[in-house]
Amino acid sequence: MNTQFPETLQQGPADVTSPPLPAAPEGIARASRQPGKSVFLNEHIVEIVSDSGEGAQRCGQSFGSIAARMGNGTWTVEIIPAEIQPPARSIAGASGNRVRLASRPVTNGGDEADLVVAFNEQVLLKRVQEGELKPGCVVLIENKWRTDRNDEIAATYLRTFDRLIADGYDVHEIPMEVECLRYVDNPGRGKNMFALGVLCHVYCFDLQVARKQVAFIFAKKDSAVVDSNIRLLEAGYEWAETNLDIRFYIPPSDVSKPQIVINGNIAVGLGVMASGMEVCAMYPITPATSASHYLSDVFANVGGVVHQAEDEIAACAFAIGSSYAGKCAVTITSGPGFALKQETIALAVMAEIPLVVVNVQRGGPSTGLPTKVEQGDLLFACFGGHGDTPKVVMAASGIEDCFYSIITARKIAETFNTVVVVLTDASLASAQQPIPKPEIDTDWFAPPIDQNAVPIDAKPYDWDATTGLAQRFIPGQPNGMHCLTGLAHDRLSHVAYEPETNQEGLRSRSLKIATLQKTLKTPTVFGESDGEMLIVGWGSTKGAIEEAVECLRAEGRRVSSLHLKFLHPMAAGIREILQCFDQVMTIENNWSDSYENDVIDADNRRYSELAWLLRARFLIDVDCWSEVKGQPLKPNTIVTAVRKKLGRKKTQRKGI
Amino acid sequence: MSYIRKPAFQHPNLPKNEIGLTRRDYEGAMSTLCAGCGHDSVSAAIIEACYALGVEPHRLAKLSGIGCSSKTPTYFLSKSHGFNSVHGRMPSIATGASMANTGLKYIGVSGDGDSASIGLGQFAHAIRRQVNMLYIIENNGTYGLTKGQFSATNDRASVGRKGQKNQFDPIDICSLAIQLGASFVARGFSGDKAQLVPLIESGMAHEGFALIDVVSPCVTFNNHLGSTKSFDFVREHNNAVMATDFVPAREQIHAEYDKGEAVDVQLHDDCTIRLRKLDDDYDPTDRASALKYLADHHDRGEVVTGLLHVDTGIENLRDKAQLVDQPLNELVERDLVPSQALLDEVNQRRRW
Ligand SMILES: Cc1ncc(C[n+]2csc(CCOP(=O)(O)OP(=O)(O)O)c2C)c(N)n1
Ligand code: SF4
Ligand SMILES: [Mg+2]
Repeated sequence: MNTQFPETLQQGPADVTSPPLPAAPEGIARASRQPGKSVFLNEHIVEIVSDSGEGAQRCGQSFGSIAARMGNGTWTVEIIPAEIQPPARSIAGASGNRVRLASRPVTNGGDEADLVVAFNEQVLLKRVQEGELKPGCVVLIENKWRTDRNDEIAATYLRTFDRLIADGYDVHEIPMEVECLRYVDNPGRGKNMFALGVLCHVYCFDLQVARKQVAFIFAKKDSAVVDSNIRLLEAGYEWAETNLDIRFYIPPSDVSKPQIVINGNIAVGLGVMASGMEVCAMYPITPATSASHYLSDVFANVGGVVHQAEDEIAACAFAIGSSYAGKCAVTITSGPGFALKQETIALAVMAEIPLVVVNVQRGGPSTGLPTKVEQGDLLFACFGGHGDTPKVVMAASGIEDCFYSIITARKIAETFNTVVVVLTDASLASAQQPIPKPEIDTDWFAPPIDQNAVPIDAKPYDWDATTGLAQRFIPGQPNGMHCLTGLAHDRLSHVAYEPETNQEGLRSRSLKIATLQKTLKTPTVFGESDGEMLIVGWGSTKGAIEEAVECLRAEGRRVSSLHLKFLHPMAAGIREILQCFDQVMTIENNWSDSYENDVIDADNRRYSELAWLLRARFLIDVDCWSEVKGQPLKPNTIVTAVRKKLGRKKTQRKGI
Repeated sequence: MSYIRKPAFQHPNLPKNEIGLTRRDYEGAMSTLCAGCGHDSVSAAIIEACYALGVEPHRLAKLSGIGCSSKTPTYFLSKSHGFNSVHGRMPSIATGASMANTGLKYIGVSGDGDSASIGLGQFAHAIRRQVNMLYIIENNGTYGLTKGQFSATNDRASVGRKGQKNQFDPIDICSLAIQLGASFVARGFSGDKAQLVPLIESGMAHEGFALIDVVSPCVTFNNHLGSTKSFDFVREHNNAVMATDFVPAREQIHAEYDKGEAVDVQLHDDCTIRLRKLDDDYDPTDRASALKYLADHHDRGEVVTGLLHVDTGIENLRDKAQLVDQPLNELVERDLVPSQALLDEVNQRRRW
């Protein structure tokens, strides 16, 4: 998972015959393909799909890692079936990976796929049905089904095959198992490596780099396993060389720094480690679990505790206990678990105990779409507590940002004795890409807690009248003895119901958030600082939004975007930015009512979550566009939505 | 989660039960669990038991939490009512439902994660309150749905799939339930349908909280050598203390009475549980000795199965709450809204 490699290859393979095309427009792959020549491309999206358990995921991840080692920018997305072991050859069972590789850094999974490898036609159909394949996309398909002993299977395969050809797909059959049988007894198990070999040839990858990757992923197995998998990789490569007349070359991007390939959950785990938080409390929940699991793996070597509690309430309380006793802790969860943590989060706010809560958002409400992405918890994170529970809410905008967000979160939590919620989501959690290898920086660490004796009459909540801040005493600190409470309390932490004391407590806790806000930098606009429209986003949609903005600007639209890392509080200067644009619209992966529904008007419309926040804070008529399909937003979808919005004349807007 | 409907075609000559339904009428959608998962055998046993009992499907509600086990109500009794609720909260939902409509039979299906971790508090209180339901825990010692973490019922001696050590002692669901006052406590094994079906029949006929802890191996995450919840381990270490036969009322007359070993426990509706002791030391009516037996034999690495405890003399939640006989959801306004005179009387007390 955590692949580390020192140098990326800067040169293309030797047998490439044509010079790089400046910018290969979409669809060039098919149009300009000539026998024996590699087609130069700027980018491609490749999918590998199989039944669950057939290894397409491993093949796809390895393909992504090899591409990264070859110097390409990559973004790998998991294609996850709804069940743990879905039936074989079923549409519901499609499992695998999508890899977007390019000659520049990639920030999202992109639009539709250009090439797909399928181990059977059913899993392929799933991708067709979901509209995930480009028209005319290259299809490489296992053809053992053609001669299956079960007539029905053979007939289904043939029917699908003919359909695909008729629909204009560029279909090539590969006798994967037949070929694998020449090297291994159980071809079902090794054909993913054969497929990997085929892809390495198609994309002009260095076979030696691929061999190293295969050796790396099977490092824990004995050498016979490694050898046999490398043999299959080579076999696939050779087969493609002889039989397949497709070759693409995507020049490397100019990365010079050493890279690591990680997904967002590992980035969260690394961030926890780098920030110096050695205590993590969790209760298993998709899609957050792997972050804590990664931590328990690495903590075994570097020291640290991952506590699997009996539920999320207990996990959050455990983390609060640890922070209370002087070791700032993190608890990592997803929607339903985040809901359960609310009561204790409010306790941490009230008692001013630092705490980092990571919410890897998934589709809701309730059990919703447990494995899929949604940005549905923003308002909940900001305002979820009972009573006034001011806390900090920030969102990671990419895989690398997951790492840095956690570091920042801990620093804020300890500096302001507050709760910091970091929002990531299911798409970041499992998407994988190369990022520059982080170099440890002492700036990352929160200042050590001052454990020196305090004056005998020191007050545990000696709130500063301007900033709301107070020095925190931890248990064991001489003269710092006091009894924390979730009840209203005074500066001595004594339970106090006096009207003025309660007013002062709430004011102080609120002022801390304003004080933090004074330290935040104004976010920078992507594109020009004024124009027809400003798109505002948050979280994992950053890459797709900025790609859409580039595309719209290339069309001559004066569109820019702004991405917010801090959602609560928001940095200064945002109002001024919004005011420079004719229209402001948020693009989000959560629910918003659309005026296309007859019953919706300006008085009852429910906006997307960030739009609510911006409208409330800045009194600006912020519009929104959103989708809740459980999938990451695609750049093209955003482009279409913005075009539609800009095409509409202002006077036609209903109800305003 | 996907829903795969089974073909509707039925053979005309399938055998029918006393209310004229075939076994197929008690089935559900196609299971999407892993092939070989113990939970599917439990679903099959529930289907078998409901068919044999001649349960009217529309008079039954199946409730569950979240987990692979909690997904199973989709795979049986598709003509019954169901509620796949949230993780660990099914006991409270069942408590509420059983109060609002005492006229239905309730089957709760849960997992060891669902009931022994996140839902332990609610589970304990459903027992304590003697909710009138059959509560089945499909116990595999792991969180199947979230991919194989240790659960709270996993034995200390059990090791994980990748050799991970389990550091904590298990919660024994049956001992806990006996201690909390469950009036019917049994342990079954998903690999032993002959034992399980009569236990389910008896549990459904019992009036009060009936618990069946079914060891139901997770073939994907906890069926390896070193696991104490694997098919092999349970087969080898199964200590069945009690053989249970369920004798429905209609068969009473024909039942052959084999005096000696057999003890009959009379349930309401004239049904009988006939127990044959396989271990002389065991007394299922004595809580203290049952608890000691369970503890001793667990320490020896045995999995004690059978009907472990039964008490038919209890008051269930409906009795305790003094509910009217008619289900609350059938009461009409006339029954519910206080008369003007009664309201006046109440308000009179507030006058000053
Ligand atoms: C509040 C909440 N936390 C966590 C989860 C994730 N989750 C789903 S099922 C499950 C555990 C399932 O274990 P068990 O009840 O033993 O069922 P099994 O899958 O083993 O049958 C967990 C932790 C959730 N759905 N809701
Ligand atoms: S993961 Fe385990 S418990 Fe879940 S369906 Fe598969 S075998 Fe059953
Ligand atoms: Mg379980």
